[in-house]
Amino acid sequence: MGRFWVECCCSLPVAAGRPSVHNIIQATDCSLVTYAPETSPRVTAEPPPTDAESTLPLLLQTLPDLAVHTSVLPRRGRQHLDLLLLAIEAMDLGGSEAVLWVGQELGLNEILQHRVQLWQIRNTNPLRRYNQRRPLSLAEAKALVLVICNLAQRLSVSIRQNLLAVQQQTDKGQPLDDHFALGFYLERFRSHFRARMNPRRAAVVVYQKPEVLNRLAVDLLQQLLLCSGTLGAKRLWTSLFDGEI
Amino acid sequence: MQFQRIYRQPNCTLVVEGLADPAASLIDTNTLSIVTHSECQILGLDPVLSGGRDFLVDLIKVVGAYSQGVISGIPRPAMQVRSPHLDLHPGEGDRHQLVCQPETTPLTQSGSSSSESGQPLRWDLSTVQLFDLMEAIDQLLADPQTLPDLQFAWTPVHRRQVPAQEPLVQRAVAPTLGATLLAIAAAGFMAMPVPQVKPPRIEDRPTTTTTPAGTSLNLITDAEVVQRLQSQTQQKLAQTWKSRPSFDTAQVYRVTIDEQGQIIGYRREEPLGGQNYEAELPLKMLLQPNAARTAKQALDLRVVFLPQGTTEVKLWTP
Repeated sequence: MGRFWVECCCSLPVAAGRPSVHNIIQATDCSLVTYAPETSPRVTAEPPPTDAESTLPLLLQTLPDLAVHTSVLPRRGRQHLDLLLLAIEAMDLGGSEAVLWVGQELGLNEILQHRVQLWQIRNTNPLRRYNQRRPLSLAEAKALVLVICNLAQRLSVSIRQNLLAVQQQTDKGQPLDDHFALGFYLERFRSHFRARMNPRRAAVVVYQKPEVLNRLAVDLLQQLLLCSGTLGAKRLWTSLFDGEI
Repeated sequence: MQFQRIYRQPNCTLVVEGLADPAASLIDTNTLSIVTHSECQILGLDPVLSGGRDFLVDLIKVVGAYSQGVISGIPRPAMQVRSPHLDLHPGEGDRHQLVCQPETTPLTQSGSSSSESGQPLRWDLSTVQLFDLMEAIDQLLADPQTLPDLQFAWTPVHRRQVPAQEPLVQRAVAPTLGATLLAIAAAGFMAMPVPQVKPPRIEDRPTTTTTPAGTSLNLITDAEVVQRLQSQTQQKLAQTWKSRPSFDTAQVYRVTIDEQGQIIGYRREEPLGGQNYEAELPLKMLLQPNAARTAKQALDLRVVFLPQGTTEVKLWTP
């Protein structure tokens, strides 16, 4: 695999009210995924400050504090974040590396320091085999939200293609796995899910059948698409507290 | 000064036309604060939705709330995804149905529906189309130069507004079973006989006691008299016993007193065997053998002489 320059329409989460920016990144890995080209004209603004220490609190402050009675993320939210990351990994072969790389780009090094810490954070999902009995702090959750939305923006072309394939296969009445790219995503998602989730959990037993797991994978694709917008991070963050307050 | 803002997405175009606020126009001349006309066109779907500020606010509220429901998987309450003219709810399969009720007054939207007025218009949106519509709205919300006072309410769904995941029938099984068992248990207890309440009997205690002389005397049963004699004996022993005890285990004596409180007999009960420390105790000194002949009633007390030099006086129980 070689290096190549891609032009990415990357909307960094800046302060509320400031539109997206146009950035050029260098991909170190050539994956099966093409990054999002310029699809729509956006209002330009000045680039965000590059100093990591000054952006860290600013980025996290763009997400409002909704749960005043608790300092940790509720159970359902931890599960949701891990599943969204699982869907991203199923779509992009370099997804797990990309999480750390994007975290570094956004200046979230202090929260997402290395792979082990990321693994511990992700394993706060109660459905995991090696569930870490530790809470997920709001700062860690916010960092994950920002990374997920950033990656969703970069993968928006793939997500759209997959959702279009779902629609086409459904309209024709054909199984989803028959489509090449969509079948690849679904198969990877199923294998990741079965390898990482605790099969003795009642919530995991529900997903024993491949059709049910495919349904979950498609739902996550839709959610990722809706999180890839201008206010995607705020929308995802608010949705984590639905039914918890 | 009139403005037009266009937010274009692959499947949706949102157009807002308006004016700047005259009061603020001296400071900021580029902000659209008053909406004169707004249009929303979804590619491939006719007709174009249009209206004024109210239409725009309803569209933002309904689409924003519905999108939140799709992201979290928890549907929003009906009042949040419904307005007088717009309604967004899940359709068949992965579709989302947008229903628009056009206004029936002659001042309807310009260039709007070709159908008869009053008939609701329905569109089945795919998720991609919904995203493009939502993204156009989000770009409007994020634009500081268009309607800066317009904000989306970032409030999660309250716990009580979330519909229960288990069906009502399944949830009602446990309390129904509990109530049934309670009724059965209550019926069973009702069938049991009511217990008879009997007054306490004092006859359990022996009614007579034997003096050292061998005569049998009636025991004093009056509780007030017993209490008085008990405390009288305690006081007498405390005043009389001044010497330091040399024993290290409690000495228990059964002491018989008459109705005047005089000691007419005693016998050591504990410890059985061992050295007899009777000489140190005041019982011999207080003994009135003559009173045993004239006594009509007697009382047995349990007197405990403790190594600390104190005494305990209680009613004797066999």
